[in-house]
Order: sequence, then structure tokens, then C-alpha cells
Amino acid sequence: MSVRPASNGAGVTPAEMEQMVARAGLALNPGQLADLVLTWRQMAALIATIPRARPLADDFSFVFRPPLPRPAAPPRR
Amino acid sequence: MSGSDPGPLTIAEAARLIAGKRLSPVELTRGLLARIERLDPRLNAFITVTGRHALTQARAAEKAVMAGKRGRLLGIPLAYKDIYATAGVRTTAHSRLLAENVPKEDAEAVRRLAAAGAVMLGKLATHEFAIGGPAFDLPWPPARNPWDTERFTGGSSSGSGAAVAAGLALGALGSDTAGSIRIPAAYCGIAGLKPTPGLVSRRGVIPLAPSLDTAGPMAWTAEDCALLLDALAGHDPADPASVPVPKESYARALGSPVKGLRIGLLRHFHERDVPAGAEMLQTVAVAARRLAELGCRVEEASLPAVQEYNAVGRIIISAEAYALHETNLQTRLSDYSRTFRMRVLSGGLIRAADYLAAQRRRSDLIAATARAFARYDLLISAAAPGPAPLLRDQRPDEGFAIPFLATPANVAAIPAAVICAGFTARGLPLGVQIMGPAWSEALVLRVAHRLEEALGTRARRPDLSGAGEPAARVA
Repeated sequence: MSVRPASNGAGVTPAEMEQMVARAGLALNPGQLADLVLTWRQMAALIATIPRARPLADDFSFVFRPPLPRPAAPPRR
Repeated sequence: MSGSDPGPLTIAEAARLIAGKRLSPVELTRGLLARIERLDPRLNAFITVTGRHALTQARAAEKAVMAGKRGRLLGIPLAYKDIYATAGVRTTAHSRLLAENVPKEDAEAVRRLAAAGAVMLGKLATHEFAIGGPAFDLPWPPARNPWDTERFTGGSSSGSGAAVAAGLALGALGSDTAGSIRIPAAYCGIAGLKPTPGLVSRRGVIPLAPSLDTAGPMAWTAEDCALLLDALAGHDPADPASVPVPKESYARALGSPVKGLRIGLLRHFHERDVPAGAEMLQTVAVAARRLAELGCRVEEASLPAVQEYNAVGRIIISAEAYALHETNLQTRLSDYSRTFRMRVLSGGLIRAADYLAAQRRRSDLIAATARAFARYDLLISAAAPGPAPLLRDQRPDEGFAIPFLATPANVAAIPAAVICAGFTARGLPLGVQIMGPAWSEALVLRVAHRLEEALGTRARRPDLSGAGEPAARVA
């Protein structure tokens, strides 16, 4: 099993693929597995194009804004 | 009110006739229901036709008109992609899994259109759960292109594109996660707008990938899209993604001048990144010339490669769609089409770190795109590399292989419109895409409208005179 299966998908072995599929909780017949191998190769190639070298302090994209208190607290003087 | 058939109408034309009491909403609706009955067996644009419901709404609209009520959508017959919830009317997402799904409430977008007096003719075909391509292993066949029924409509708002192009509905709702409004608009020769995320409520719309999903209008003209957007746009406190931006009239803004606007022509999109055919290149060049003749300053511009946006978009879509469908994929896998499985199953293998890397890269691409708008008011490119391809050439397994020229606007979270800019020698429509900075829908639609007028493509409709015989099914 490769350390970074998602980033090395083009070279994933049938055994590795079966393990990944089982981990995802999927039960595939041979035809469905063959389809997935094909599309996973395409997906892995896309994943490999995403740059990884970023400063640790970079913000993530996600912003969660909790709802404002109701009624809103009066401004502090 | 007159009951004579006025022929295919735009929303703006029908609204004027209805307001002048020269066109009856009831007769207009009856005419369209008859047209659907006659033509749709060949086009497969509709999954469900709601004739009785439509006539009830049309009668109410007619009564309101006679009572002096005014509204640009009052009595206007529309149809909705079958991922929009409709109270009491099945909403299938074109999937066996939801074949019996009957929502209790309307999607917010549907509710707003109904409140504006629009008439719902029915629910439209899509790719299953708004992803993939045409599938022949589902309970309903894929929609066919009215310009040539052997050809693909584009998707996933496939029925919306076909219904509007064929004059079965005056306008439609679509959704756009990677190009699903704009690609069918281009292939079917109509107009479509993907708005800024948060402008149009997605409440009640079956999601595909919530980070990228948008809901928007499709119609024969950019002006009609503006009329629809006037009703659709606005804050929905019940949709967490909805943004409280100030209300404006997109239709009123169409009349403002375009002279002096700075237009960036993204030639690398359609010349290098996704090379377009000669007729498409010529169409974009003509569109750029028309914009210059309208007084715009057109210069070559550049953004990161289309492939970069597509990689980010496809990772996010697959991962999010898999997460939404995981339980059903684990328990009812064979109920999905092969096409859906091929687009989504790989999402179950994407590691969290890779998904987050795509989201972080999206931030870079949003920033890079925003920087371009410091120099340009708008950016234009081809909407697709060519005209609609043949349905029989669509392959489920090439899902991630070909990048879409439409996807950068989804990843960059900006509005983008597609209009019909020309035709091939064989008479197939060709689309041009107009992109603007976030919240610039009024400007995007204004330029789209003026360019549409300058190009003069809107007088030409698909020839459906031979319709009646169902087209041969593609095995």
C-alpha cells in the first residue's frame, strides 16, 4: 500500500484499489471496479497538479460565521 | 384577450403583449402545452408536464392582468430543471432514486417566480443529480438538441436548454456547478447566466457540490435572463449561503451604455488551453470586433490555465458529491446510472488532505481572477470549443479528461453569461462567454444584451417542422 495513494493513483495496483474501495464501504462488481480504476487514474492525475508547497499560516477557504446573538448585544461604551 | 398564436416569443415580448391585454396567459399556456405534446416526444426535454397546474396559474395570472396588476413575469410560462423542489409535483433529479419524490414545499427560486406570477409548465430533464452526461440506463431518456436531435444538448441543465431553444417554455431554471447552465446555453443557442454564489437562493435545490453550486436563469435572450434574475435575486435568510446584497434591477440596467468598457479577451482559453475549432475562433473574433464597434476597449488578457481551474473544480465536485451520496452509493449503487458512478465514485477515494489542497488552491485562483478585474471590467472567451457534439460520441469514461471553458467562473466565484454569438455552416449555434467580477450581474447582462443585438443571432430559431416522429434512440 502506497503512503499517499491519492497522489499516486496512476500507478495504483488492483490490490491497492480493492483496499481503497473496501475502505470507502463500496461493493463493486468487476465492471464497476474497472470503471473506477479508469476514472481514478484521471482523478489522481488532477490531484497531482495541485500545488502543495504553501506557508503553514495560509488561511483555509472555509469560513464559518456563527449566527449573531438575538437580540444583538448592545455596543460596549 | 387575444388567443391567436403569436409564434415563438421572448419573455419581454410576451410580457408587453400580456400587459397590453393583447395576449392571454391562458391561451399562451395552452399553446405551449400543445407544442410540448407535439414536439417533446422527439426532444425529451420534459420529465413531468404539469398541464393542469399550469392552466390554474395562467387563469390566476389572467385574472390579475384584467384586474390591472402589472409584472414582467405575470402569466409567463416557464419550466424548471428537475432538481428544484416543487410542492406536490415529483422532483426526480432524473434519477431512479428519487422517482417517487414529491416535495412538500417549493424551492425558494420556484416560490419567487410563482410570486411574480410565472406559470410552471413542468419539470425538465437533467443529467442524473446534475452531473455526468447523457445516460441511457435511467427511467427517462436524455434530452436532445432542437437544432439537430442527433446532437447533445450539453448539460447538466439539458432539458432547460432544449425546452427554451425549441420554444416549449419562454424561460427555465438551471443550475451551474462547472458549466451546467452555460454549456447547454451554448450548445442550444440560447442565453444563460451563472450568478455570483449567494445571489440566488439554493434552498430546495438538490445539491451536487455545495462549494460550487449556483442556481440561475436560462432564456432565449440575455434580456429575458435579466427579467428572470430580477425575480430570483435577493437574500434568503433560510439559505446559509445566501448573501444580503443590495437589490437592483438587472432589466433596467440593460439600457445603460457600454462605451468605454475595458474588455479582456482570454484568447489562451480557447486557442491554447482548450483549442477551439475554426468556426468557433471566428465567432469569438467577430464578437470581439462587435464589442469594439460598440465603443468597448478590447485587449488580450490572461488568467491561469483553464486546466488549473478544472482540476480544482473536479476534485471538489467529486469529493462533495460522493459525500452527499455516500449512503446510497453503498446501498443502492446499481440504481445510479453508469455515467453518474463514473463521475462520482472516485470522490470516495479522495483523501481529506487532497480535498483541502484543492480548496486552498481555489483561494489562489479566486485571487488571481479578481486581480484581472483590476484591469478589465469584463472578460470574454468561447463558451465551448465548438458546436454541440453528437450524442453517440458522448462517453461516460471521459468525464475528467476534457476541461470545460465554463468551469473557471465557478471556481473563481464570479458571474458569467453565455449568449448565442453565431452559427456553424451547418446551422449549429456557437456560444460566447462573458465573465465579470463578483456581483457584476447587471454589467454582464448589459454587455451580453448589447452584444446579442449587435450580432443579430436572435431571429433564427431551430427548424422543428419535421418534428413529430421520435428520433432514433442511441443505444
